[in-house]
Amino acid sequence: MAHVVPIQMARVNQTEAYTQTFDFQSPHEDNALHLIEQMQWFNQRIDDVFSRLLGEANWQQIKDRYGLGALRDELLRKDIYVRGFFNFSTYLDPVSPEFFMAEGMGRFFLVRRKNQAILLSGDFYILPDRHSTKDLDRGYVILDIALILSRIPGEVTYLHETSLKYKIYFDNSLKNESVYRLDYQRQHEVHLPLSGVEELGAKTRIGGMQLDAKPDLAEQFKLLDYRGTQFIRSDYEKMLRQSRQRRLEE
Amino acid sequence: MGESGVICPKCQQDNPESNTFCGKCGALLLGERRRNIMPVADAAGEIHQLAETTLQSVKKEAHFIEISTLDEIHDKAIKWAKVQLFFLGSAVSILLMALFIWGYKQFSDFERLILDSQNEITALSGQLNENATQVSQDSTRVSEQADTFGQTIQQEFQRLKQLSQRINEIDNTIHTEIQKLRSELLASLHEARNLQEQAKSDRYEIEKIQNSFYEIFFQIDGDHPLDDTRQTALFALLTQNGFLVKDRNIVSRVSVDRPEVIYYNAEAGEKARLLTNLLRKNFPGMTLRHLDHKDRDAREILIKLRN
Repeated sequence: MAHVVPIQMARVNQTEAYTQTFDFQSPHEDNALHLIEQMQWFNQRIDDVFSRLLGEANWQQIKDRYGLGALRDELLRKDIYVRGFFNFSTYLDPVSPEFFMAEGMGRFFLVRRKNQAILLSGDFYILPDRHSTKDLDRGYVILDIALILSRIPGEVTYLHETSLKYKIYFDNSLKNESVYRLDYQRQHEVHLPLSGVEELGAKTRIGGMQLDAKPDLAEQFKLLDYRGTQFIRSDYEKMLRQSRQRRLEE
Repeated sequence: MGESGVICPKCQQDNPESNTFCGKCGALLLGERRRNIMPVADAAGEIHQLAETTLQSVKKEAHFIEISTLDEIHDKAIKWAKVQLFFLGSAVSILLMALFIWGYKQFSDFERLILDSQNEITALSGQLNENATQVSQDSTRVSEQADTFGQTIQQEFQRLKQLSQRINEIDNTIHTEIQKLRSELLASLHEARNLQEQAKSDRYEIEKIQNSFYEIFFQIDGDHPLDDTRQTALFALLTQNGFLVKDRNIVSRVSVDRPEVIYYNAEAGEKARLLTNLLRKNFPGMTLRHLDHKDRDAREILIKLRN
């Protein structure tokens, strides 16, 4: 006897809090550059990254208020970080069960550790996108994030949207059982590519994100269970085609 | 034979034989001449001589007549003239007489007038003498007074001279004192100026030391960078004014929206203004802004530079 189940059983919603720090790698591994030159390099790198992240006008206000030198030192010491939370949903592609969809939204705050001052706050939107379960097998998925800066305290804030890419790692130790879960142990990568097609790597990486939750320790597991996809209904494509036809007829 | 003269029968005047009339009285001498001619002639010679003589006599007679006529005319003219002169002289005499009478009268009046005048002059002379005496007395008195006055003036002059000398002495003393005071004053002024300069220099040094307490941060634009010469000159200017330019505070090759000086605490406003004024020499568009931010150190100032 064949068992079929609706696809919505595979939908997983999870809310996570996270802390993101910024990484600005040294320009040369051998530290051949003089310290001052290194600082200048970091200045340029930080200025470039945050100009693109926040918008030049917003970033200039941050620089004016706090000073790029101080910000640089704190960023390199990871004393300026992002605190945020997001709601993340995954569900199987109704048409192609070997794929799954991921989407979500969240809010973030750029925080200064030394006095817990909020330098700015914003929202982001995890753009809905289709991912292959093979991505889960290899251990990560790439999420497109639309970052919207909403407020710099005490300053006029200008609307600015940026596209980021988050490389989210999954624990695939149970990939043979088609069961996956977010990797709560390791840092997820934050990339700021110049374009949507730029390959992600050390050059595009601007930071790492660490999820707060330790579900394994608390025994509060959040699983993506893709077992039994052979049993799900396969008529969604047909139904959707009919739906489109009916709408066209109307 | 010598020629003898002709004696005038009228006045016995001896006239030359050539004269027909007397040179003294004018009487005719012809008859007499004949009587005076000596009878010297033989017959022929005498006749011839007589003829000659006759001829000459005729000629002389003619000449004599001519002369006589002229003399007569002359005499008549003289007589006429004498008559005329007589009348003229009479008229003149009458006139002179009249004038004499008139003149006498006038002279009498004049004499009387002169006498009156003499009397008056005598009276005036007396009065004048009296006046002269009075004037003399007055003059004497005035002279005495003038002498007295002169002496007084002399005394006063002496006194004034002494006074003037005294004044000159005082003036010299005052001048000397003034010179001395002036020298002292100039010396004091010079010293005061030196002190002022020293104070100014000290104040400047103090200000420089105060400036060095401020932490100056730089943001230098990467798209519109400063050339090295300009940047070096700028930092030298700030260093000259005591501001410390630390490499670790220089953030270069970053984006900068506009040239600006930002201070975060009102206490730093004065130094920020000083910095802005210094920077405006090279960056005319440099602006100053107070960004109230209590978290930042009060002595921190941010300088944003771009071309």
